[in-house]
Amino acid sequence: MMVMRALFAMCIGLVVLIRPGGNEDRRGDAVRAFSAEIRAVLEDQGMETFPHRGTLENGLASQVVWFAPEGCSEQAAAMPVYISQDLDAILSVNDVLGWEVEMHHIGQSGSDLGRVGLVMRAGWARLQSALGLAEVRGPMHQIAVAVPDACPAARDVDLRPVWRDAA
Amino acid sequence: MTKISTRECVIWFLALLAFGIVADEARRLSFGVLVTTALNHNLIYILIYAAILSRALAIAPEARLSRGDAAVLGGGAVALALLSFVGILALDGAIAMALGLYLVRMRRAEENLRAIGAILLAFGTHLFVAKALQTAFQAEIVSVDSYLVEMMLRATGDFGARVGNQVEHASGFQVAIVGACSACNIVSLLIPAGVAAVMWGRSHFERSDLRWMIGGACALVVVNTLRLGLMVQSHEGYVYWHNEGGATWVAIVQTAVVLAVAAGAARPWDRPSGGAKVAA
Repeated sequence: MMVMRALFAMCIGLVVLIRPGGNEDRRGDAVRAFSAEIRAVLEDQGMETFPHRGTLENGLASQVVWFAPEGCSEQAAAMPVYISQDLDAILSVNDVLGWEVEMHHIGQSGSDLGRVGLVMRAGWARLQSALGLAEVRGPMHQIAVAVPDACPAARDVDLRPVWRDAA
Repeated sequence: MTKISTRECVIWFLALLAFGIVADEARRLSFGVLVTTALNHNLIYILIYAAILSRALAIAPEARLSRGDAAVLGGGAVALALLSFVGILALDGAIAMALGLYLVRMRRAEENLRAIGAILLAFGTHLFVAKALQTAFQAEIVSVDSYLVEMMLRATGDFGARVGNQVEHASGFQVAIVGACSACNIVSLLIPAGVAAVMWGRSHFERSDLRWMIGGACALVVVNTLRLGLMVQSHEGYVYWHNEGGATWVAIVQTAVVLAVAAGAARPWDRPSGGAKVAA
């Protein structure tokens, strides 16, 4: 009887230790601040960033950076190049709009760990943080850049300064 | 047979499931945040937990699970804990579904366990299958939502243009509708809410339950289309109906519709006095 009780109690302890923070990472103020940081980097590179004409109807408008790389058509420029740390939102936008998605990980620019790799790493990071073993930021380390097909020049934008600053 | 009672095992598992969902929504690991998150928990989920708890408490205190059944329940609990590393709530739904199916089909399961199995199956369907379908057919699903918004704007003479999931108001303001705001999200909640309400009081389904569900689904689609249509009016409209007071009102109306449908399907006022008839 005690074994079963201990098992259930241990499982509850694990979920309470590991899970908190996921939503904050996805939707928190830090994400919005980071988007502003990305926007500043883009503007430093001579990109014109501008407010959205429409709004992505997913509550993440403040995480969207809109800019028009040189050589993109007006129509393509009217669409955002979507930069967010919300992996689900990126994948969602990718699915809906058919954009090509490039995944990056701060500190390991260009590495594509894949979705499962990223979320497992985030879960492990959260557990370490909860146990006081490490100061980690979980999925806050993710950046994904979605590039509209009509605007291939967006792929040439150099986001490495952002990665270095945030790593 | 195990020494721990069936009732206690089910309550432990329910606690784990509920703690997992609350913890997933919590902003950070602290007692205050966890309590606040629990207090702000989805009312429909609370209805589901309450229905499971009610049925669990109706199980005879002396009832015991076989070692095999206890192993399945314990294995489910361990899987829930380990999958926290992945951090995808839908996987909780997959486990709830599998366990629900096991309880429904368990040979020696008594009436309350079968009812709990049906509720878990429905809840898991909401958490897992609905999410999987939304992911697999997201483009098609949001196209339907977008089309409905287009119809609404045409009816009011405010339609500008629509390309796929992007709907433009006559004023030029446009909104791209993505999966998170599809009516599918709330409609899928109807399934566990209705099943939980029905199983709270009786152990079988009736044809009228389905009619209530379909009617409720239609009402929720209308409410969501109205909400999206109001968002497309202007940026101010978007902010109000998506982030501010309007979003709260929509959530209240949607929750009220779901609870009304659940109550209508369960018809607690038709029940004989003394509450649910349960096996002891």
